[in-house]
Amino acid sequence: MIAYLYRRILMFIPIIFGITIITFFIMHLSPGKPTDTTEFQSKVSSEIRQKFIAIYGLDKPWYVQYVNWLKRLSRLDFGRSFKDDAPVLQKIAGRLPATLLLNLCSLFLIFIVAVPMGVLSALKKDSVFDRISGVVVFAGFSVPTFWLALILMIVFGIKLRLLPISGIRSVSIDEISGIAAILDTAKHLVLPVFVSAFTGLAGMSRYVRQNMLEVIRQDYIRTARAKGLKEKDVVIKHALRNALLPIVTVMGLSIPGLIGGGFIFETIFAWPGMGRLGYEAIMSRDYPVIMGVSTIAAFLTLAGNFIADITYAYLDPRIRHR
Amino acid sequence: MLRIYFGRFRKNKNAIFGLSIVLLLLMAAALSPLLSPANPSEQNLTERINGPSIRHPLGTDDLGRDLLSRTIYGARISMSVGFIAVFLMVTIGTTLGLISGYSGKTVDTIIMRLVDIVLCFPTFFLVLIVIAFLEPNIHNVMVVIGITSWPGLCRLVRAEVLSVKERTYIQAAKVSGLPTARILFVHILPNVIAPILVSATLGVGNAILVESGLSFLGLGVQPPTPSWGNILTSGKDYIHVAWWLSVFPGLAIFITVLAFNLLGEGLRDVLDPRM
Repeated sequence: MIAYLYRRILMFIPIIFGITIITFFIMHLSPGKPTDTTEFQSKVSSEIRQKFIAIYGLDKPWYVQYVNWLKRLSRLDFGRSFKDDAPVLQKIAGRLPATLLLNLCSLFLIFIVAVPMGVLSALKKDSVFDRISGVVVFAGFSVPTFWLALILMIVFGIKLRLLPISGIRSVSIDEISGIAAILDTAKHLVLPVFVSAFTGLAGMSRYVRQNMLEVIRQDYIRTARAKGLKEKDVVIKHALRNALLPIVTVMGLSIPGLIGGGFIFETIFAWPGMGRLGYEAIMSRDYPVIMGVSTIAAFLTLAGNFIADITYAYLDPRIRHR
Repeated sequence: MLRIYFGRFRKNKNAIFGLSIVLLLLMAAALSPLLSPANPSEQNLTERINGPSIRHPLGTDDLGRDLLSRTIYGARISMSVGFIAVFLMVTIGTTLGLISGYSGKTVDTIIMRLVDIVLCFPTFFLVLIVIAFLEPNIHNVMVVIGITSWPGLCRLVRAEVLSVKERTYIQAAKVSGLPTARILFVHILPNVIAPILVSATLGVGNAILVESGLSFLGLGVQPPTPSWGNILTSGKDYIHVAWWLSVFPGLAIFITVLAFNLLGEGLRDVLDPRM
């Protein structure tokens, strides 16, 4: 078991390398340097620009710059932002909680809605419920998240004035405290969480349904029924436990999707998370921040997969005892 | 065999529905100049931001352009991006999948690690970086979506190849000294056509979603060329006064992607009744 986890961790190294090299390479494929942006040109004299290029080694070939970046990374130094000279790690650390809060809430929502939905539609295959959930699933796969976000903003934010449409807290947050502040953030969370969960929910409930359909055809379920167990016990104790196993892995695999989706709707909802930071960094050619965001995003993905693997191994004795 | 598939396909209501919409959209894309009531880029400043009416069934935008015509022309963009991106995805994914599954050993390991890398990337971030650092235009969008979406298909093809290559007729082809390329494309490929067809169909929907997302962020198709994504962006600024600018283009994306998903899932049911 420990050897298995060890092998998994070793596999992460080439992946992180690959992702950072690709990001670095693409950034340097483009003609022009970050110092060529009009914003930079208009505010800074050519002397300072030369100094800036020298400090960051922007005149060297990309692989030299990459090796330098790696050297700094080995000291956990992600460099400083071109834009405001703040340490990249600090910038990301400032944005990470908002992204984690959003993603954990939506993972939780996906889980508590998708599992019962999938199980019920498998048990009552071809019923009205199954059909309706099928429609929801297809809608979830097909809807553009940014459009869903816009529509919900129009309906709940502008027409009904029920929910705030941007940011993580109200401007007047300093005047309120304790429970009121938590409630305020919760209100801001509703729309972004719903939008980000909707797509994942579709995939997950379909997956649960598929698994459940396979499991209830197994011999041990027939045995459980033949023993005269209550249907509830057969479903929950015998079928569900086996059907849910692969879900752990799927949850882990859904993390890049959640983070990737964040780049759009964090921008729409003005959510102060990593996705928006990444988007802003790309738009202003802030190399160190882009590298930081992609490295951390890849790391989060791998960590998610790793946790999923451990959980899977823990839950499935066939793997645990190998 | 084909007749059996065709019979099953005809009974699948979802697939037929999806196919009809896809055909309608292709027609709209091909015949946009004939179908649209007005010139999509003709500005009419006296009719700015008018709601839906008989003259302008979907209303007009901030420059007084007819939204219905712009939406019809938008189908051209979405369809061409969808199909060309998927063509690239299928070419790369299938070739690498065939090679990976057939050759095994080191080549297989390298290709599978590459798949892991691309899968661990939040794809949209990669696409954003490429587009922002190259030039945001429709050609780059097609290419980038194509080269970031192949890993899933590659894995699928590889898995199929692994099971096919042990069969006796492949062994026979090998022993008789056929060149590897011929074995791969003539003898193995036909066995994996079904999953490729399904993922290609679903892939078109996905490519259209990504393109509209990019255009929405201002990194895809550039105005004044109408794309559903960039119509939505300009609509966003008028969200308080002009709901139609946000609702209709999004609805167009939604219905299109839905149609491709229904068709794709329908094809899966038809081609692979085990699921």
